Amino acid sequence: MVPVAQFSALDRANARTVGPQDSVSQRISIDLILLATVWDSLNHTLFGNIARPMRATAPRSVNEIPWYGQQEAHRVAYLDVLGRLDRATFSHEDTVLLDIQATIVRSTGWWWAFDGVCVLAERPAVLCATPTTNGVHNERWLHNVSGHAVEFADGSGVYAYDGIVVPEWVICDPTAERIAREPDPAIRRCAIARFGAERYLEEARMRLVGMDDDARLYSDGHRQLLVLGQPATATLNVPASARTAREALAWTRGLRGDAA
Amino acid sequence: MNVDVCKGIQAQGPIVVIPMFAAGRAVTVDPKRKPHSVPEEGIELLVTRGCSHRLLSGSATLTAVRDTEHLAPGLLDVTGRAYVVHPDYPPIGIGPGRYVIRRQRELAVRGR
Repeated sequence: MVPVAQFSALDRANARTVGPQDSVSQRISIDLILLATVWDSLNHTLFGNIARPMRATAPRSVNEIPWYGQQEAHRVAYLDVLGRLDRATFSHEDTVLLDIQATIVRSTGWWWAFDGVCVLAERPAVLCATPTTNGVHNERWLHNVSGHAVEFADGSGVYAYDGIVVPEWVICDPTAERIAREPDPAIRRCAIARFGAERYLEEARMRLVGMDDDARLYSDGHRQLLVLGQPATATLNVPASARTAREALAWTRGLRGDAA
Repeated sequence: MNVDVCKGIQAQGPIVVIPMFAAGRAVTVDPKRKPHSVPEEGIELLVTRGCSHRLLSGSATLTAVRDTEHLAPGLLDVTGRAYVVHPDYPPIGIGPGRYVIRRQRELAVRGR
């Protein structure tokens, strides 16, 4: 079994925010560093940022208790590292089992085990992932601006931008009209980034009304848009009654006036 | 945890931590609702990007509230320190005090 229970959730969360070098100088325990750098970071990249968003696009029947093959490499990698660094000892049976699991991780995509039958899926032919914005352990997420972020040999796949699975139009044919009609703020933010924020504001005839710290309020005379962060981390529709960026930000937080 | 704590308004993506005094009269506490200690493994506040914004603290309680703005998962009372963590966002640290935890909103747009 994997010795994850011996650390508090707070200690684990802290280790995830500190890079490997700084972890040593901050005297974080070696077992916690290994957990953060190998188990947590690989689990987040492979399962959290790849398997989970792919699963969300698959038919429900596919989701029934699959094993995730290469996207579960964190389990094998972590035990492998513990063994190599003499942090754990394995019996002969453990080693045989770990070798089998390592072979599965190296050679298959998702797989399903039934009585007497095992179904193995091919791994994706293409998988494009880029470093996440805030990861310090080389975590990655799905991202490709020139086609599918994940593509299988038959040409099927999913599009993704900055770790968000997006409809095809966001990557292949974004327009100001489609962006304005997009109800999901996460997809809208990706579409604006893909299209070009300046170009979008110009084509949508959005003029800067005011700014406050990293919040900017734009208006076309009817619709108002609040852009947070530089580059934008959120692009939110706000009521036309908001007169300043600060008032608009306060409204998104359910606060009155300019209390943001 | 290795993060500065703050007593003002803080945001982590769509999760916003607001000092109770700033939330005004919108938020009221139902006296029948009991405060719950934040458990060791933390409390999931909201899921974005497939992962939870998790509240962690050894010295805080969370109480369900009535919020006329319908945005508040709860009222947070911190005696020591509390943190909100998410694998894709920088963590935020919360100092002693009483806060409302809200979800950021936007104006609904007509769908495609």
